[in-house]
Amino acid sequence: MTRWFLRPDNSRRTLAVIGAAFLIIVVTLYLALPVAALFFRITPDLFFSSLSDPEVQSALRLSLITSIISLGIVILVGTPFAYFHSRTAYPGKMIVDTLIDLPLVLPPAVAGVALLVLYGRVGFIGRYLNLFGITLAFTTVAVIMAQIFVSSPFYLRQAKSLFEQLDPAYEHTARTLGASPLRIFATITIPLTASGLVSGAVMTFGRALGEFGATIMFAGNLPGVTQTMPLAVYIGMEGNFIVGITISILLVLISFAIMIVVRFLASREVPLA
Amino acid sequence: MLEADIHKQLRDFSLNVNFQVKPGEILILMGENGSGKSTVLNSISGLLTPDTGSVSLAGTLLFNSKHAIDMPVEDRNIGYVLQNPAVFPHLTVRENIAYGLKARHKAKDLVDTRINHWLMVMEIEELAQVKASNLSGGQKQKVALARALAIEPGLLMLDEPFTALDTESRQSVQEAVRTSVSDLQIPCLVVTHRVADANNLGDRVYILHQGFNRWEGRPSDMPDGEMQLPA
Amino acid sequence: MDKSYHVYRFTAISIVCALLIIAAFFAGCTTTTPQPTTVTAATTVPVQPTTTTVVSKPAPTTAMPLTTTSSSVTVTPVPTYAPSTSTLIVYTAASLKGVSTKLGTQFSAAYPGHSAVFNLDGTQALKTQVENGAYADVFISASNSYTNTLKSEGYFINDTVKPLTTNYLIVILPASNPGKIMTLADLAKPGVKIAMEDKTVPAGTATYAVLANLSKSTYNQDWNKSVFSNVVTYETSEPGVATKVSLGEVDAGFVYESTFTAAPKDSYLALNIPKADNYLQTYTIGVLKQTQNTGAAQEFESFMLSSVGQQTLKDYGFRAVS
Repeated sequence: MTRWFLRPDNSRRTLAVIGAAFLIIVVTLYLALPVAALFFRITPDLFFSSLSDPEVQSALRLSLITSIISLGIVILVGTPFAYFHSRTAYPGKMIVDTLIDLPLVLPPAVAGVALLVLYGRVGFIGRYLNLFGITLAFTTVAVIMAQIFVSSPFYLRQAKSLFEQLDPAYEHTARTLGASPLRIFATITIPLTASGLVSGAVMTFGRALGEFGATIMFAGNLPGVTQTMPLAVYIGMEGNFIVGITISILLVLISFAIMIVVRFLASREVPLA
Repeated sequence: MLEADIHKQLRDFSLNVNFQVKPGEILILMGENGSGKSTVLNSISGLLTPDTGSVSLAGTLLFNSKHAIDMPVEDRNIGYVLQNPAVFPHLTVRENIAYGLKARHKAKDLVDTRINHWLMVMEIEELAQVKASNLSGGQKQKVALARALAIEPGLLMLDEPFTALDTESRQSVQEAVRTSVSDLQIPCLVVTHRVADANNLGDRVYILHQGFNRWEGRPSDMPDGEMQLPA
Repeated sequence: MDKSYHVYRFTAISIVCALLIIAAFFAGCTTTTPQPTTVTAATTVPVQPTTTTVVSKPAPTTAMPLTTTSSSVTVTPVPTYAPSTSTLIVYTAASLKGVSTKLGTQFSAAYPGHSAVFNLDGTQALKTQVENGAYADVFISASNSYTNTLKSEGYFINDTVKPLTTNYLIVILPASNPGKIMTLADLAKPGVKIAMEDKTVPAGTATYAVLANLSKSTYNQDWNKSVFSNVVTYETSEPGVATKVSLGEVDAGFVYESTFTAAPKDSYLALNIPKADNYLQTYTIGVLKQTQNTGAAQEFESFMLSSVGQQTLKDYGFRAVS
């Protein structure tokens, strides 16, 4: 924190303080007021009673289950991938590096169209899967595929960066002490990067939970099967807006919980070097 | 007995060294930055692979380019304390020292005995349950040393072990090294740039310059001109 | 280093930024509320042989949108047109997607100097937007009940609300007929994939009614149940269903006849629904109270109801109002 406000020049100091306070207030209100408005739009009674609405419950259940599965897959596949990617120089590494970031800049609807064109019933790959009776579009699997596509960069970038920053001396020393690569990964690498990995995982979960564009394009909208919470909000706001507001509030609460967890983890010291 | 014959093309020059270290003997490797000292240690440990050459320890071939032998790092049983002592910050001192033994699936009793022995030798018994991230530089160095010795290695290698230590810690660590090497009767390789360390600790000195051996001999015989080797 | 000088600059910049943010914020607000411009008289109306001139009401002096009692969150993004006196904003049911371009061109040709821009979306989405303060001059609705709701909420100039056109439902199939569907009965076959609109969409309500009629008259409740269990997606607009069918991702979809008629030849196969069981959707057109361009809006409505407009609608598969 700079001590510029301790400068001896009084009038400029006051001006600076006012300017800074003004700026902070404007930004805070712009972000906070819409969210707060959600809570005031509905009475607590209506909120709690619509929690038992089957539409709300099925959307909540579907969203949580699919997001958790998506997260699980991203962690299981992504962690070893990020490790090898960060530790080795292989041909095409730069291309892969760029591809990892692609879903971050690609509009979700485009991602959905792309998945449909590839895996849909008449898609380039989908048509062969269809021969074996495997359908992906308009299934819960499609929801998970869309979620994984858009949310994996959050985890992969974080894991990649953590492994890159981890001083190789730890792993080298462990090797000289006689530990096998698997043991090193489990006892040294992961524990030393754990809290960073968890915060990446939490962000991934949040993104998967909020996914809309790719889902509605590739998975469609079927209550209980593919109607996740964001889709239910969209539909709800055009018909039963109490349901729409309720699910919106639920999503806000979950998002806040996610942010708190991430901040808590980021504040813990991670000895990397 | 350690026998090392290492040839490796580095960025600016080629490394060509050839030396032996007897059991119980401490060889000091000196040279300016970038002369290839750490590469020598890494090659012996297996973390790097020489282009050609041969490394053998107590008669066992660890590496031989002619016969295509390259033993994996984890099998070489070499105690190696890197320049960054890399004590595992998330483990306690005890767990750190035990790491190599646990990796070799040694029995619990044996592990405890060894740990207690080395805690005593390094005079850090009171730190046994302390999390390694909370240790001072000198304490970390001792833990790293104990950890390397606990596995009863066939060779001990130390890369700049005294740089971050104050005078008192330096003396006790040097004492610990001397005692351990003598007790275990293993060869020992120490990289340092401080001439005083060479004098205190070394039985022989091997000076490296641009990848080749500039001088080799007893510390007391070290040429004056070399006293001013830059850090 | 003169740090106090840097602080002064920092302050000036931060105040400018704050002002810009606030300006942008208010600009965002004002685009949804019409600027209080004076309403100009309509340009000379070219002679239209069969148009009955609508009696123009005096334009309201301040055309503020009706403030709703609630401040709901708008879901679909509100288009940010700055309303002018000559470009009309027509909120239009999505099923007029193909025909709206032609109608727009014809309107401008008939009324030089006027033009109309169409915001196409599910009627339910458009209704929500208007209720949340979105600006539009004319509203074309695919659902009588939504029209009545908007009328009772006071958004329409009620006596401008008139039936515009009608549409029956039809079942379309991808040209290759992957589901091998030959009759309506086949819709209940296991493994068939059907797309329909969500029940909040007017075409969706119509579909539900059609299915109820069919199961009562021809097929039974089991057929009805099987059809619904074959639905894989409830789309948020009628063209969305058509897209899924044309992509070949579903075996059948419920859309309006006009969508089938207006599509290029051989895009789809179709299954007719018997008239007795079918649902005739009536579209209404009306001028919104908030309009700044009452004259032009009413001219647009006249055009749509004129023989030219009605013929174009017929060309695209819509039916006349009986």
